[in-house]
Amino acid sequence: MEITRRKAIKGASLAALALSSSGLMKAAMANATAFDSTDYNEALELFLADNELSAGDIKIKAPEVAANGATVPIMITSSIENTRSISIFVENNPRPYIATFHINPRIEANVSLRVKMRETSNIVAIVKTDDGYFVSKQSVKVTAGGCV
Amino acid sequence: MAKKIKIRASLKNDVTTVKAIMTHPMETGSRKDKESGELIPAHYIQTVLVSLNGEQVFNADWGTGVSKNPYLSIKIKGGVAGDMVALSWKDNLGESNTAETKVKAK
Repeated sequence: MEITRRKAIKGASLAALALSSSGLMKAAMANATAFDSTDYNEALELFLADNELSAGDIKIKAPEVAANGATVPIMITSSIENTRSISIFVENNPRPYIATFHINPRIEANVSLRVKMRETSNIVAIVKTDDGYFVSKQSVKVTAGGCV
Repeated sequence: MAKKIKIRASLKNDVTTVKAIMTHPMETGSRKDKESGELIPAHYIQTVLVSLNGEQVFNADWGTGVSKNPYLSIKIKGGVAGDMVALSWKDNLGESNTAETKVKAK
């Protein structure tokens, strides 16, 4: 993971300089493959494309215990300024990257949906802003896994 | 197969809440048919668009981890009773569907 770490640091400094159009293209391409990834760390790496994560003011409303993993209701609210997108990952799912919601000034940074969960896992919400990527997690205990 | 979208848009305190349930199998591609034992091919919604009076205001990218018959709720700032809200989705097999509704004041 040393290479990743180095890349992450390098990427962060580059991102701080400017959000180049090539960077955006790269992010979009990485997004498609991130959805197919079967490993959380790999999916996250593809999704972040060299950007660093910091803790942010993101609320995840999800049940502490989910009786039915096939449909777990979650609501995510970002209180971070200039939220551009909200993405959801479930760490222990076979395909951890669930969804990305693109936020603009017309939309409140608050979305609800239902996700599948194979087993007890963290739900990870990642918010992208002009200033970088922010993360928040919440654990959900699953008593009967969803077919994922 | 009829793939319906149930959609509601309600206006309250200058915020239009759009709620929708889309009828869709959301197959992951890793589930087996109980009788034949063969894998059921992946079939899931990849993009969702929402527009207000014909102007796109929201889009989302989805993977296979969204529940079957997906539920989505978003909040659009502003809006007036009578505005048209439309939601459409497209899946990995190229199928798509659209539904629209009028914003109702609450």
